[in-house]
Amino acid sequence: MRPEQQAAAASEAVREADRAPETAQEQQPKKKFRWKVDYYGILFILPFFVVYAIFSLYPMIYSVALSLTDYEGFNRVISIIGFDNFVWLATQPRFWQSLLNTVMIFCMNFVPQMLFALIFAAMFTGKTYKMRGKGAFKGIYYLPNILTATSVAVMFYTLFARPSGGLWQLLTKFGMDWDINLYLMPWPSRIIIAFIQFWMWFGNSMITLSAGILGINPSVFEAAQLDGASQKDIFLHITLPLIKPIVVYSLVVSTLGGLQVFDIPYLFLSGGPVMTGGRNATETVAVYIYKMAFTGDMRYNVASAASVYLFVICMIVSFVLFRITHSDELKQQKRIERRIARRGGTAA
Amino acid sequence: MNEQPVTMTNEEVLMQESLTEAQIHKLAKKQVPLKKRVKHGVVTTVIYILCVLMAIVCLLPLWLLFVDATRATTQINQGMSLIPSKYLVTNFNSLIEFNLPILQAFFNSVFISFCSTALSLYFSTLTAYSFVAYRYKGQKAVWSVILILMMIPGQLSMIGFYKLVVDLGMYDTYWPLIIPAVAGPGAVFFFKQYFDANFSKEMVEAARIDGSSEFRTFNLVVFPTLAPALATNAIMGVVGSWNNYMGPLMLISSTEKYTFPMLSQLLKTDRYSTDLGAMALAVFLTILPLLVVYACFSRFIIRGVAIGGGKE
Repeated sequence: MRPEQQAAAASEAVREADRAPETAQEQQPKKKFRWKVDYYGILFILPFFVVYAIFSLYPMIYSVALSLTDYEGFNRVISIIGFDNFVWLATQPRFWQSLLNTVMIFCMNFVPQMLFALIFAAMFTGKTYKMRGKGAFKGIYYLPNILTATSVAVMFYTLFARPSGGLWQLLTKFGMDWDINLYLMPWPSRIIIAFIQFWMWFGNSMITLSAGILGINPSVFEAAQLDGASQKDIFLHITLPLIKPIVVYSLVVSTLGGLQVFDIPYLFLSGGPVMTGGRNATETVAVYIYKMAFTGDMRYNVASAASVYLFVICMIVSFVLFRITHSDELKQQKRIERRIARRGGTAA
Repeated sequence: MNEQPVTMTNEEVLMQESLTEAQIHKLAKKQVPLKKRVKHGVVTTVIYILCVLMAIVCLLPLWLLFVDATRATTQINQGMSLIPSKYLVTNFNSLIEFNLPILQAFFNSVFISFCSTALSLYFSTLTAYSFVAYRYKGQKAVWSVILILMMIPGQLSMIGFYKLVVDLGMYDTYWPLIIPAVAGPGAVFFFKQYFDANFSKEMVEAARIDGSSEFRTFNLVVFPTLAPALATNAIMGVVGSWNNYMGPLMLISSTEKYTFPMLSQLLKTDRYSTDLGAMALAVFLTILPLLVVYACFSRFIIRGVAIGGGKE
């Protein structure tokens, strides 16, 4: 195995390194740092790209190729049928519903998540209100993020299940006696899944944002405080604009993650409850792809076509988001340059 | 008693150069009128209450799960409780009777996550190192390619990957879960960032003058200096690989090769789902290793998230 080999090579090298100093003395004097060992630079990235080519790039091309064929189930004779799968998918309400579900679940999870994360990050990094036990709180908030999705799904399933779940217990205690099963209703199911996502990712966002706030030069805050700015003003007019890049970064990463969300929706209700027209209320695109390919008729072609759609959507979304931030950065840079130029003018 | 007269104005206080933070705090307190101090106290209390509430939201589901693990099925059916009962041992015994391959699955997961993390660490650092230690034509383009690879959704390669694995005869083995770890653009990005801040040309140069080959320089001189970044990334890698559900779900079919997260899939089947107490215990047991790891290494993990390798 590789680690053992490494260890063997290491011990051998250490032995040789012990002998090295004597020979090193007689080596030529200090030369300028050599950038040009090009051959090694390429050699070192080779494993990455070889493995990537085999296990990611080739499968991608394979997927795209399959999306143009009629490869279903166990049929062995495959023929190319062009873009029929894409056209067929575009007419499927179930596919559109899965896209819509993905977006809805993402929005219901991301907006409150960012809002809460901002509020808590502001509280944790605020200068006037000193807090104790920040580390412990951060540790607790991040904990849900490392838990296995399968376990989390089972855990929450029992919590909202009727009639023994915690929610129903509370409701009956307050005298309400609704005879409804949340898991059969589209919106409640979606909201519960969005809540689980929120529960799992809140800590992550909060820590990312507080790291961003802590990264701001403290003298900016001090200057503002000396000028008599209130805590609220500092947060709204200094902290928020300065952590915008991090908020946008979170937005990009979360959006890409949110578009691909699979574990919780699949495990929680496996896409259900079923709505009219074969649509499913909590089926995300990733769940749809998985179900198409690995259950029922094993329609690899349709699943591949759906994954190509997902890829295109992801690319467009990240391109647009990056474009927006990039143009913003450019604008800001120009503004700063102009300001410096003006100030330089008055000083001179 | 008062080191500074209370009547000092803001400017005068600030004129003094050598004030400790504690002194400033003390001064500030004295200058602030009572009304403001009350408000300060109220706000602080509200902040603490909010923080504690959020902590409860984060921990309550876990606690309820633990409580359920200690209760009998009849109790669970009657409703939830916040106080643990005394059926933990009973549940444990019935769990053993179920003959769930818990230990087997545990060691399978340990094996997979350790192998894949070791591979990922070594080759990601090697790849990242090549960007700071060497120069060649088209290097910038290669770097942009890696950045773009981070954006590609995994679902695109999913079907093709499954087909490839079947074609290679690797279905129902651990290879497809381990080897792809060599090519993780995210980890490369993480280590490149670390190198950008901490790479010492002098060290590499010194090693070269001593006649060390390029590989040996990396293995023995550069790699060990990465320890802090390695620790952060290793823990996140292990947790991520441990929690991987879709991969094993797609590629592993025999029960004795199941990974830990797949156990709860078994639990859903009718054979087990009637004994709710034992099921809760089983789910709790699947979480337990992560809780232990988290208790030991939460500092590293939170640091890793703060650096920005957090989201998958």
